[in-house]
Amino acid sequence: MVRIIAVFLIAFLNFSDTDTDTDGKVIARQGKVSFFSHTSVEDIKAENNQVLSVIDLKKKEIAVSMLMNAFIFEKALMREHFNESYIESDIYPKAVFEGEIIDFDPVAKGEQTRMVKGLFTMHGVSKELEIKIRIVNDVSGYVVSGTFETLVKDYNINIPPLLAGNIAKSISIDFRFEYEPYED
Amino acid sequence: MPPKSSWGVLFAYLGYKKSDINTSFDYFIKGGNMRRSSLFSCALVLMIAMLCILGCNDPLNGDLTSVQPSNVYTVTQLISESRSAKKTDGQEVIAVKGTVHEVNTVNGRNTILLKGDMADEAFVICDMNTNQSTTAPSVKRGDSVLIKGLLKGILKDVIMLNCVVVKTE
Repeated sequence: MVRIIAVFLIAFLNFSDTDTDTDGKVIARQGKVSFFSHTSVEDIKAENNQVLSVIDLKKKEIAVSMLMNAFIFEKALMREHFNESYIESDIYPKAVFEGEIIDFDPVAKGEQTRMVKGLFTMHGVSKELEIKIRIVNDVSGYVVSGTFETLVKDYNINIPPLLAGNIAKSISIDFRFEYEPYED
Repeated sequence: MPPKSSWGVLFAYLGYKKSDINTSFDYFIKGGNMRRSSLFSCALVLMIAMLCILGCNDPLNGDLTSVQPSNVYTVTQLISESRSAKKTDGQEVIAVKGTVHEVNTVNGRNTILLKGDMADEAFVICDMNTNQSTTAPSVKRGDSVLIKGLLKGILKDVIMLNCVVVKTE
């Protein structure tokens, strides 16, 4: 009888502890990516709240995709410049990142700080990136967040000399993704 | 007087060269042909007004309540047409009718997810306009709604911004 109760308890504890199948995939449909440019002339910030990301927990791979025209700016004119003159979102509508989370343990609960290494493609330019990310795995699922800096010139973005003072050479990018289980 | 760099931006829009700017300022500062400087002032005022209209009052950047949608779709139609790349404008105001799958405030944004009858799990994600802060939470899962918004494109789901609820059933 004791054995039966013990087996039952172990089975129950294992079942209740497993919120996500760690061999499967998780998806964030409403990931947030924001950027900030600071110069003495003006600060420019924008955010995109519908960034898609999928993590393959078995392969420890992460993919991120976002629509460049879905960034929200404080001023319509900033959005217009961003889409039409700099990012050319009609020609390059998406930015994509595909990479691997190094030493990621999908089973571990709590917080992990890991490096993600992969290829970021924006404005038709692909660049290898290594970014430090914070992964939190709790009852609500996985949350991945981080910050990195990128240079405007690396992505072949032309800024007219007259506007060069308004846009920082290095842009700070923040991201946060809340994942839920995903079936293909 | 705005900072010099702001003037630089403005004059870039006007199509003036730096030498033109200096010459024009000379008219103001040192005095010159009054008629020419008046014309210049008028052009400047008109240009500032235009920039304000473009920058501050772009209807597609704000409230779409009074904007007529170019078309009305069901969720399934919209996802299907977006996937076949028929819809990539990014500035088209459309209306979509469907069943509410989820109402959430992820990232502090009022968002409504509409579901269709696609075989895979794809939604229309409606990022609600800030003027919908009372309307959006009153919408419940399972409601049939008609939502108007700016169609941005598709990733896995169709994305619409500045959305307003037109009708709830």
